[in-house]
Amino acid sequence: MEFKNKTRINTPGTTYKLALSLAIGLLLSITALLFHQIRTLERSSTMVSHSILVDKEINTLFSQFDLMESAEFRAVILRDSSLGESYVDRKLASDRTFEKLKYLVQDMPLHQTYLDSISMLKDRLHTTLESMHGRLEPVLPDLTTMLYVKKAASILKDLRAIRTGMLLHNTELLEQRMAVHRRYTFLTPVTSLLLSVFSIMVFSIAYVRIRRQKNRIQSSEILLQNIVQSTDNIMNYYEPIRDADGEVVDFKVVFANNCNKEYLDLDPEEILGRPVTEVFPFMIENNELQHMVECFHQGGSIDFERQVEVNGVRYWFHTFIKAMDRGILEVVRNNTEENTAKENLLHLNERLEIQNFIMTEAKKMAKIGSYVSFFKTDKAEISDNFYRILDCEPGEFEPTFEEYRKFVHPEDLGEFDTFGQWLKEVQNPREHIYRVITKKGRIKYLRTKGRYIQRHGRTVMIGIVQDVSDRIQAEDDLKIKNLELEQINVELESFNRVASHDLQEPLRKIQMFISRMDDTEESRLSDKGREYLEKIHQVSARMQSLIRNLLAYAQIGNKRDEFEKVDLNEVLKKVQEDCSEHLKETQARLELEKLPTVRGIPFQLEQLFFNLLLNALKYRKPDVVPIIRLKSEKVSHKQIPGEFTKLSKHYHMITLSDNGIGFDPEGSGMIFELFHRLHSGVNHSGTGIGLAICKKIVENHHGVIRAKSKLGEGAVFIIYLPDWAKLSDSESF
Amino acid sequence: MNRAYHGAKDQILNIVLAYDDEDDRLFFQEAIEEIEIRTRLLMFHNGQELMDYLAKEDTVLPDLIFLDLNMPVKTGMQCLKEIRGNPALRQVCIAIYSTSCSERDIEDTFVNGANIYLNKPNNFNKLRESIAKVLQINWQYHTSSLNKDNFLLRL
Repeated sequence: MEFKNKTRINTPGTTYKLALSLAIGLLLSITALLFHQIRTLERSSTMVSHSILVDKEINTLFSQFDLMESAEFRAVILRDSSLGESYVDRKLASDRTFEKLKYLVQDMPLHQTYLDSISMLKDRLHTTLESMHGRLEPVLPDLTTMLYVKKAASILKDLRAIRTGMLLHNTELLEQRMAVHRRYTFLTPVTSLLLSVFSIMVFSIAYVRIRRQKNRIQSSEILLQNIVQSTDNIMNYYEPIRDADGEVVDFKVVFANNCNKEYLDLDPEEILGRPVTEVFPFMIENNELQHMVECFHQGGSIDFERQVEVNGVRYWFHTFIKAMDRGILEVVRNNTEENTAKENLLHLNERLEIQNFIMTEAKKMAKIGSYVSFFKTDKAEISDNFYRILDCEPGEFEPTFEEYRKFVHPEDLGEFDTFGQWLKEVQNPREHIYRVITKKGRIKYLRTKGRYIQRHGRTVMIGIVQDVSDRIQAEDDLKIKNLELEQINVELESFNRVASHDLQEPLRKIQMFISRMDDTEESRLSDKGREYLEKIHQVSARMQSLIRNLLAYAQIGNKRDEFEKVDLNEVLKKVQEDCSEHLKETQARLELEKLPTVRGIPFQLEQLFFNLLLNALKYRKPDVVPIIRLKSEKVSHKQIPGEFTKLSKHYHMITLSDNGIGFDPEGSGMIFELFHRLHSGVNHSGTGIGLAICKKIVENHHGVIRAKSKLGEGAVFIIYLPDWAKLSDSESF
Repeated sequence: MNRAYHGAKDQILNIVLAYDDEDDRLFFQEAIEEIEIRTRLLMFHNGQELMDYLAKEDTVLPDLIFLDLNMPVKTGMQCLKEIRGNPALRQVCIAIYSTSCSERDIEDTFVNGANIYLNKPNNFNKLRESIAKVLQINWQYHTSSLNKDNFLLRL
């Protein structure tokens, strides 16, 4: 981020540099131009003054000539020889002026030609004038003198002509020079104005640019600051601390962002300026300082993982260190979650390996094979266990569809092909069971289920096969057993019918006839006959009770009676009514406590208590008033001795105890068995079914019945019935 | 007191018995003869015979039908359903007279509209008492308060 920003600032920089040098170049050239103009102006003014000087000197020279001539003339006229001296002076002065003029116009060829003519005329003038001077003696002017005067006058005339030419030329020159001078006196201030305007412009642009640049840098600095502070990475900048030899021994914190506080609980303000080894002691432990020093010297960047414990929590940090100009930048990312995920992944991998192993073993155990079939190429991959199922070594044959088809039982081939076709069209998983003949010639039933998936852009079918021969065999066995059971049930039903009707009918008729005989023929019978009749009566009664009990026994649990709430107190009331005769007869005392309400089949429960009550009365002590106690309490399933399937956590324990003859404790287990009687004799004429019925009823109610006794000490029957009320609304059995 | 009892003095009670066993028919006949109520007893060997008789136009409808459940050709249950399904016969009182004491039979006959269920006793005196009790019942009253508890006749 930071580096990107820099380049953003740099790119326009080069443009500005170019612009700046261009501006400086322009400024310099304008300045040079200005300098040149000033110099030219200077020169032109010099030239102008030079021309003026030349003009003046010309005038001086010619006036001297005039003065010289007039002085000579005056001397001639006045015959004053003393005047000759002023001529000489004039001559010298004119020569000096001439020389001066000559010097002035050395660069002016026209003037020089004029001067050459002047020099010639001057010499002639001097000669003429000096000749005149020799004629001073005669008082009157002679002819000769006059000639000389005339001659001198003509020379002067020539000189004057030259003078006019020279002055004319000089005036032209002056005008030219004046024009140049005027031009430059106009151009120079314009140029200097241009220069200053341009300079102001350059400075203004430069100022604006700099100002804008500064703003941009400021905002990008703020942005950078925000990024640095808002990132969830630690971003620190360190500068090296050197020892006396200039070796880097440590770094000091120059900048630290807020994440230090977040991850390491270090206030960024407080750690500024402090050595990193002091602030982050773990840097020494992990030898990180060494890496940092190396990185600082070699430049570039390094990164590594580190684990740090902060306030008892272990964090994983990914550290990135980059060497900068004068220090190093450290960026630390908290990747604890990533690493935890990685660790989890590793664990998961381990578990997967284990599960794979288990899977392979399970496949063997469950006789499961798997396959992947590539339909386009008719190629397939089948698992090792699939080979084993076919009694082959893994990889023994090429697993193509055709090769595999050879194993399929000929009778199942049609269905196998149909199924394959169907699967291809519908591409929907479905089960199919078919037979194969293995390499060893064994017939096995295979159950297969396949489905289509896309793998690497191809449609492949993956599926499993399971050797279900055992199951099929077991199912077949079960079917046969079921049929047998159905047969038995039908037989049992017909037996029930026979027992309930066909068997009872004749018996009932016999009893009927007995009662008729009793009524009408009794008086005609002998005592013996009467006794026999009584015996027949008893035997037939016993037979009837046997049949009835057997029927009752067979019918318990025969049909699914609906369980309902049954108040056992009501049941006992009814039972008491039913055996009121017996109770009256034996004068028995019944002590009943409050009984619970249970879930069950009312008439079965009535039968249960009826049988138990009758049993207690039947096996009473001959000369003792029978006392029968019935009580109930709630117990936990853990308190029930012996083994039986406990459906409920809580049970009602209903205890029925008597003071009868009891039974041998050894017989307590057998007492509930069908036709098992512990007592014999006329007095105890049981059918041996009553208690068996009780047991069956209790078991039909998901309970258990126990009996305990000692011979001669009465018997105790304990019934455990589930307390369904404790089982939250459980109606399910 | 009750209508059947009063009726015994001035009118004859028409009773029909459908039973397949000859001995039982004999017992029933002897029992009914010993009861001091004037009755006219008609007996049929199976359910079909009974239904044929009832279907005849000149038949005087019986006051009470004793119906055995277990009969050949047409069972007592079929007869019961047919009689209760026929508006002309609907008012006839029906007593089930059976050896079966199974809850299912009792329940089914009750549901199908029988008026009383009589368990065949194994003692002649009890038989006579049972029949007498059935004959003495005020049927109008009994029918209106018909319920499952007094459906099975107890002595």
